[in-house]
Amino acid sequence: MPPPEDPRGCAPDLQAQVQAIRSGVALAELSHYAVLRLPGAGALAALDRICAAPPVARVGRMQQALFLHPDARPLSDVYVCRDEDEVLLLCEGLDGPALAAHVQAVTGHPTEDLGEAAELIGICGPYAWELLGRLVGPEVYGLPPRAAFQYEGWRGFLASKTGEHGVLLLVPRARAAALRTRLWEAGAGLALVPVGLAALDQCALEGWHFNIRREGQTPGVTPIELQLQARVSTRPGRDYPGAEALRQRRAGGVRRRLTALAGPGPMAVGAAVAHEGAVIGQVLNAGACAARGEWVAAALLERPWAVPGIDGLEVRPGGGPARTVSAPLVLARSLFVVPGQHRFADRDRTPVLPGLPLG
Amino acid sequence: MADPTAAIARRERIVRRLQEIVIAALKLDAAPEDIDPDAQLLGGGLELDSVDALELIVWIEREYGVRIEDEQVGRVALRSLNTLADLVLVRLPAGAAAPVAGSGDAPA
Repeated sequence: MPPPEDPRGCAPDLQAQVQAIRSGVALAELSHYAVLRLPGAGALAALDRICAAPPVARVGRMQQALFLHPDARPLSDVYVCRDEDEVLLLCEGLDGPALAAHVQAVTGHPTEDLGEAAELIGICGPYAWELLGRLVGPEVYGLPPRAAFQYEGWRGFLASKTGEHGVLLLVPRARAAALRTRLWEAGAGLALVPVGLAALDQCALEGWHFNIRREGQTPGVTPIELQLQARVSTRPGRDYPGAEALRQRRAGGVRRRLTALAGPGPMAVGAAVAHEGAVIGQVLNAGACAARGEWVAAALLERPWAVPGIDGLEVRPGGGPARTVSAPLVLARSLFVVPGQHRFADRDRTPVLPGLPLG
Repeated sequence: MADPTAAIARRERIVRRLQEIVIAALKLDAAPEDIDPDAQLLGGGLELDSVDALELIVWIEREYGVRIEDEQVGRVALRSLNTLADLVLVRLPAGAAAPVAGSGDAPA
């Protein structure tokens, strides 16, 4: 396990883990996820009663969804994975038993917590595809985004919250050790690095992916402030926990918005953001960014300050000057790595766009 | 320290117009303010595909005279409305007024 983050800068091994996610291949144990199973052909329809946007995932595909509290705060960040006769939910935000009970209570549909039966392993990085191809075969390179597949008793889900390529592997617990062994064997020559949650969280921040365990925990903040409106629907007739509160918040207009900040730092969660002495917002998530050589943060700012390109801000206490910037904070190398075409061994020769902070 | 008011207003105008463009070009049933400026346009929050991306590129060129000349530039610029706005702000001639929100209809 990596040591706690050094607030004066990126801890060396955390930096190495982030570097692996950004430029190579990393393996992560995702035990903080809750994995739920809703059996039966009616499972997707049942989820319409709890998902903030209609669940429309096709068979063999995934959809990113949100469950909300009644006051519209995020409750769980969910991948809805549809199969022929069941739906799997890969969830962050609540533990398995609590989330299973909640889903069953709201939807009325049987919901099984797979926490004891299965493990979730993550492969992330621009060359995650290369490792997956070695494990499964080159046919995986043709899979579409958000695809789900089965292979030799385990399931793969093409998903990532780091900004880089990624795949989640759901394996029966009895087979998990053997799969890990195969992953390390298949990863020979790819400089695999085991990474922890802190590194995943830092990459999520840099890649501007919603992190329910960080900015999602702020009281009074809904998908509207978090810039997650694409994942909710407030159309008349849709009823799910948080729907009415969200309609009311939307009717009031967007008054605050999550905005990317950068500066010499350090920046602390909860720190105030000020302009000419007046507080205009608060830091919800922050970390030292090696790729940029400065600190980065996700701050909830009042409009009109919640736009990129504003200089002359200050993070208090002790955070120094800051400016708003466009997200993502680090450009993903995966944008320039084509699965099946670009290999880890040739990474120094992979053409990337110059002049941008690249992980 | 420069007053950021003018810069904020200019950015907001461009983002608002880009929101309208996305809705018109892709025939979305949404209000402009429903499209978050940092929402991932491709393969993410709005689930736009490569065909949608081409449509947006055509719109951007007609609206602002800004060409997205290669795929790599496009991948970066089309990350979100804010990154598109960054490109427009960099490429617009100095002092040129950005089109006002709501001033244009969908191209034929």
